[in-house]
Amino acid sequence: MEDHIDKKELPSDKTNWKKVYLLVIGWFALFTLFMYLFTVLTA
Amino acid sequence: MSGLDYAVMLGTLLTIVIYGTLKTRKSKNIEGYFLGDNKLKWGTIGLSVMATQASAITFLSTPGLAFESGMAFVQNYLGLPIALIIISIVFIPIYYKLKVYTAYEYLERRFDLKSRLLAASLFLIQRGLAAGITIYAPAIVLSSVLNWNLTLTILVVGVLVIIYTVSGGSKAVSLTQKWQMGIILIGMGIAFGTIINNLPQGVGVIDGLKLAGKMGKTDAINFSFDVKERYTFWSGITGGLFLALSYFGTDQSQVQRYLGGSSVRESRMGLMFNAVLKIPMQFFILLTGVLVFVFFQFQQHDVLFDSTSLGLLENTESKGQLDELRSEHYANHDKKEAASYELISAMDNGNEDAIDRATTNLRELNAEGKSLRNAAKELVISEFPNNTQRDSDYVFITYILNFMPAGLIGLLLAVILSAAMSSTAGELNALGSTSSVDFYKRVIQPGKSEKHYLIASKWLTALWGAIALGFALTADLFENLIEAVNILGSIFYGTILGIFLVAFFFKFVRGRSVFIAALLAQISVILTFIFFSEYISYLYFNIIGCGLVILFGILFSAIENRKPVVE
Repeated sequence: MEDHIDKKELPSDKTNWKKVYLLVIGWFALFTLFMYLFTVLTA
Repeated sequence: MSGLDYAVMLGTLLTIVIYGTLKTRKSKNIEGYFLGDNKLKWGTIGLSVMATQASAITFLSTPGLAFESGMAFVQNYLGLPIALIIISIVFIPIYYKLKVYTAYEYLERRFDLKSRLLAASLFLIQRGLAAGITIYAPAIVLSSVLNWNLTLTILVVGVLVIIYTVSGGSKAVSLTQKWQMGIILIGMGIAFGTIINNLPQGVGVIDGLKLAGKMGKTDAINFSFDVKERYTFWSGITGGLFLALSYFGTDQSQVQRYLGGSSVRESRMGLMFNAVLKIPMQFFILLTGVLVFVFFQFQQHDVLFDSTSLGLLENTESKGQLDELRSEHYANHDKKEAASYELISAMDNGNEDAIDRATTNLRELNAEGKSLRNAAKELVISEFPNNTQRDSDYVFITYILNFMPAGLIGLLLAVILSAAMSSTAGELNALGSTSSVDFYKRVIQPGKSEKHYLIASKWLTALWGAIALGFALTADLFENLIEAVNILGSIFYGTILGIFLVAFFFKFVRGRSVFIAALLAQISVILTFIFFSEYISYLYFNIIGCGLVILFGILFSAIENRKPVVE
């Protein structure tokens, strides 16, 4: 069954997903840092 | 609540429901009914995914949770962005390539029918019960504070949801969720603004946040390694990651939302929308609760926020004790208000000794206030043993009803009811698709026409709606069951995720091995929960269940592969 899954192709997609995922992770790291600073500065 | 509020609330809710029903009532086959003809764009998918997850209790209980114990709950969501990226990379392309209607369909293609039915059954049990609670939990709070009839509230909300979910299927659910989520975001933004506006003169947002911080309410991030602590950075990034992977990757109520996308790109972008916005949204809802806490440091309220229970208590023999608690509570509030001004003034002056003294004083007064509230709650339970509703669930609604302007109260109630309707609709839609595609079409009545399956799907969705309504209408008979159903989610999710991860990443593992592994893992998680739930945060159950399925799956597979050699 796995072979069947791997052989089928999806329509091409020009989005640079690596860049999108890196941006999301960057935003996540930044917001976590913000929440940490929020915790420290309001303590 | 004024006539204007009723007009705003009913106008908002009915407009969305009627619009969604009329716009989406013509599905010709189950592809149109369950996948919305694959026409959805990423904005609709993103809002729809968000609306399915955010139930009414999110908006009633979460601010109350922050009021009571601070913002640590936000860490529950730390694993979510990473989980959504993994789902985008691994899960979505496979679902699209196989053109599945449900996540469980994939399991039959990868393993066998019994693995598919096992995962689908776990989903139906857990979601079938949860759908009733999604309606019941907000209805009990709203009917209590607004003096609405509980049965009527449940029936109106439930019947409206059933009408558009049965009529328009997935397309109606996603379309209404988009508008409902829009109303929710606008309403919560306005509520946030009014709280800031309602803080006493001379107390700014920064003062309020510093005061809350001194009371330990702003600890959003905690790097402690203690596994007993329910919410830490580590439990969120590990347990929360597995929970989110399981919920968004394998729970049909979410999978169905993004499978309706017009392409892999639209589905992925819909999930990335949530990866970016979900944590800030939860942070913002919790921050609203923290500001409500600050507001009530200065504004007097009754000894309990649940005023209906207090009203009932006044007609019992416990009235004398209640009056004593009330007078102690009011005296405590006056001291708290003075101590709050004192702390803010000390912080403004930068006098460290004065800040420490005022902080200790205010902390002691808040602890005293909390024990008075607990004593009042115990008094309520002693007279009405079935009243186990947490008082913190009434904090935010008390604020809305008493301190927001007319018109906006109606809007905020529309927010809460929209959230109840949108999450219930997502659940019913998924229950309908799983029971009709994974059971009816596959096992009970295979080989029938598209029209036959479309009609059957509508009936099955309506049946689940009726079951959810029935459960919601009788839920007050067995209060403890509600908590059990909530815990049930954490207990099942790890196993379901384990089956999927084995399917994706351990291609040498076959159907029989994974089926036995899943059963054993599920039993182990239940036993761990029974004997060790006091020592382990519930988020870790997801890792245990998932890890055991993978471990047992590999082990049984190795034994199975060795068998022919031995023979």
